Amino acid sequence: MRRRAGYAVWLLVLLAVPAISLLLGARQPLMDNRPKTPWPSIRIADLVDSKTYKQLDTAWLERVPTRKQAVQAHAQLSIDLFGESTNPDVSVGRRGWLYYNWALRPCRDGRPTVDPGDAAAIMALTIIASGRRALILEPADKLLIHPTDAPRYPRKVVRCLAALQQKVANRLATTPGGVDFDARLRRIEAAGQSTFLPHDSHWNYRGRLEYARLVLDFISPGLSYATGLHAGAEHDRHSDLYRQLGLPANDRDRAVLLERASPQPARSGPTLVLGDSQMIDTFLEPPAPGVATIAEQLPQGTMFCRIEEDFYVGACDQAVAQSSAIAIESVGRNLRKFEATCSQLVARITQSMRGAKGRYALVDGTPAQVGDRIVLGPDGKVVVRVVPAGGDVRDEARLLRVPIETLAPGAGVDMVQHPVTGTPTPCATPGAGSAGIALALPLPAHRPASDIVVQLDAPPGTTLGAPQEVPLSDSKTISAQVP
Amino acid sequence: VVFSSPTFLFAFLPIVLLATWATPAGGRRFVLLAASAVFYAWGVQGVLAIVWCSALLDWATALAIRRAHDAGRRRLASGLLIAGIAQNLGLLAYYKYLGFASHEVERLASLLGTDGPSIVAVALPIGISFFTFEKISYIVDVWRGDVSPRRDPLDVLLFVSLFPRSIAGPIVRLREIQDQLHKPQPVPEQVSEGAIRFVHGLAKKVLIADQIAPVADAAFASSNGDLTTSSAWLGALAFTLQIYFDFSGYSDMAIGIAAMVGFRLPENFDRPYASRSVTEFWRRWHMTLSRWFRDYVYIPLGGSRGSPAATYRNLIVVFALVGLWHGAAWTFVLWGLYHGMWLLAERRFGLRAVGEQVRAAWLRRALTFVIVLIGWVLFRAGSVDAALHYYRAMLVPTGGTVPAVDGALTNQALLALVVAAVLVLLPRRQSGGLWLARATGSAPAIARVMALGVLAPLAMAYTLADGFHPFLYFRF
Repeated sequence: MRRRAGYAVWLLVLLAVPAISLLLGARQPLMDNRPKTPWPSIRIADLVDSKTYKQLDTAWLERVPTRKQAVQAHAQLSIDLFGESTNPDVSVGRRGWLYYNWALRPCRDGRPTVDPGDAAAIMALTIIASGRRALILEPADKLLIHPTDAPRYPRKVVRCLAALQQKVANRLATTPGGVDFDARLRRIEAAGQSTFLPHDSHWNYRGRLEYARLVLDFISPGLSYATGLHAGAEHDRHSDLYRQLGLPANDRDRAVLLERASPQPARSGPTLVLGDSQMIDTFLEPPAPGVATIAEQLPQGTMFCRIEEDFYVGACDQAVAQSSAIAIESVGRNLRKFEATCSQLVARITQSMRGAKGRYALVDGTPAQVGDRIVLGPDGKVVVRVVPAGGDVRDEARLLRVPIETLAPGAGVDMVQHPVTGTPTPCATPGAGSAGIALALPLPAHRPASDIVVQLDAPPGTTLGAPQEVPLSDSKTISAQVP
Repeated sequence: VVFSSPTFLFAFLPIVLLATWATPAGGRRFVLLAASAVFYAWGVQGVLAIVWCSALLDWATALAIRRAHDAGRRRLASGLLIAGIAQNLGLLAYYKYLGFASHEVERLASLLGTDGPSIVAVALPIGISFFTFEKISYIVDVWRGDVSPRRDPLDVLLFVSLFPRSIAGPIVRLREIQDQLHKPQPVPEQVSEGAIRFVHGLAKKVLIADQIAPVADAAFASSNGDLTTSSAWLGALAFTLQIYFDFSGYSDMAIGIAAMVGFRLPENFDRPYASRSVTEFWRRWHMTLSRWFRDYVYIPLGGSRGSPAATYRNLIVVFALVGLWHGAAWTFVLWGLYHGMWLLAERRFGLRAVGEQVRAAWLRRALTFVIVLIGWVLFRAGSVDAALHYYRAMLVPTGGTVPAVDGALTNQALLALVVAAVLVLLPRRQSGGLWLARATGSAPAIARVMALGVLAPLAMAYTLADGFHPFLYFRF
């Protein structure tokens, strides 16, 4: 009887331990990569709102002191017993290697809406046409560079991914300013040296070293040698994919360091290094505890900008304007977002470019005037083709500019493409919100301008100036002069 | 809030248990009533007042019925009974069936080329199907003289809203818990049994049902033409096991919690997949619902006392209602009718197999399992069209597998499926929960220690870990 009563006591202990330990001061560490959900207010009006209870559930879960241990036990059990991850975004491969499933997104969640190879080429050529130097990298994900330890992903998806990535790499290899970085990583892998960390989605020191060398020498030829870029001592590094599982495990890695700083400005002018987490890891994170970041030791005028956190919110506009060279790194899993990066960058750079005037051909709508300029009619909509001065088709890529001459304050112009055939043209500006700037409509080489029909929506009376054609050819660089 | 949520497990339940045990017998019902109100508000806000007003009407109706009986005014008593049933069914109809009805009227109107009424959307109070039936059983039992009406309205409020069974039953009759309503007495033996039942249910729900669920979800989400035969059967099997371990696990938890706060609830499952006929299945599956329909619909309709044709009619009516009770959609009605037709056929051809002596028992058991499995497709499919697509995938051989189903069939899900299947295939004895809680000897004692020492912490860890979806790395 006494033993049986113990069952209930034991259950009560299991149930009450989290609350009691919370009362005694135990706290759950920050586990979710975001601030904890606050407790909801308990006013009468809130008590009849279902959101209050959902918030309470989440707030409580994020404060249960034993949650960390529970998450770790669950994850460890799943890996050790079943060889599986507890996070749908992470998969366990051979030898315990972890892979980030977002790598599959470009083929699993819908293909990119534009040709990513075209987008990469347009980006490089636009930068060069603006008078800047360009370095464009779209490195493939761990799954494609280090496939030997990869989990069994659906073959169809992997094949699609490999084809898409190869298309981009091939295009970059033949585009001025483009670099097939995958080929460099594969060469290292082929020598039996992995370029990725086993439990992290990022490169190990070999990958970072290769990338850092490329960027440093782009900033100033020979800079990697001059600064003594090298791999330092081994250290433990917290693995991001382990963290996704709630596990505290580390990978062994080596630091990528400079032997000496290079404080003098680069002779070729200021360089903007734009990138995602690989760039952050390589340049902006301290390579080892207490050691300065590489970014801090580079020539004055070298600017770094994070795509997700800074560039997308417009925090890098000034850096783009000041730069005389731009190095961009965007990993393969972000291929679908690459077009957004491209259109934003092209939109910025386009403002300082000018070209030969063309005209508009009306497809639909009721503008007050059509010809070399348009005044939007009462319905605030017009559907047109741009007729460039240089002809419908050209052997080189082009950038068509649609200048906004007048626009009511606070209003905007939206541009939507309706291609007659194929996919929309990449890196076009989806919209703009003030007069005096231009929308960009890039055209890859051999793409007929007549193929691209655009719908422009803006308040009635908005005036669009004559379209301009800027050839995107490294041999015909257009000077970035603003009249 | 569900029993397997962290808020319930690690905040609500220990507080309620401690408060109930620490409160003198006379005050426990107030603790439980307050706890039930909080639990209820958690599910659907703002309808508790309506539910309690309806329960107070039942309380008054029951007293009035008794007074009318005592005064020899049987017609008045019957009138009051009809009004009480109408009040309850009206509530159920409004919350559960108005949306369905308005949707069907709108569809009919569009077929006739006219404008129908706009479709009504009403938030469904948790457990309304359960407590409505319990409230009806109360006034019918009072009318029949099977139970005395409660003088204290708080007893009726607690009966209607007692939180352990308010989400998914069992469907309790007032007479079954009337001795405990006024002064719940949690005695140590019963509390310990309750703890074991609760852990057993939690493990069934978290470690088996929840692990299998993604397989069924993936298969039923693929039923738009891409589903292959093997994936369709796998999905149907997964759902068959998931719904049993989920629902019976929930019943185990409800019975366990109720026992820990001083109530003994009726059993709801008795190894239904060990049945050797569909008739037997309905005596073992959701037993309190079958019992309710038997006592309050089937027998009042005449049961099996009339001609065979009348009996068949009664069976079909009851099972159409059983289907409709499960959900306001044609798929549920068809599912009920499907089972009704099997019961009818078994009765017609003498295949009810209710006793212990049955020929080819294993074959009968396997056939019954397959019949029930096929029925679950109707239950799970989102629409009749989706169910037909699913049946086509099951019956017209199509090679290959569905990547989403393959992906969902992780090693862990596979193990859960195998364990679930083995548990279902075990010989017919008493239910695992009852055996674990009450059996004597060393085997059940070891099983109890394992359940509390291993399964309980594991299930709780899974529950806590389930909500771990970290914001994807800032830098991605």
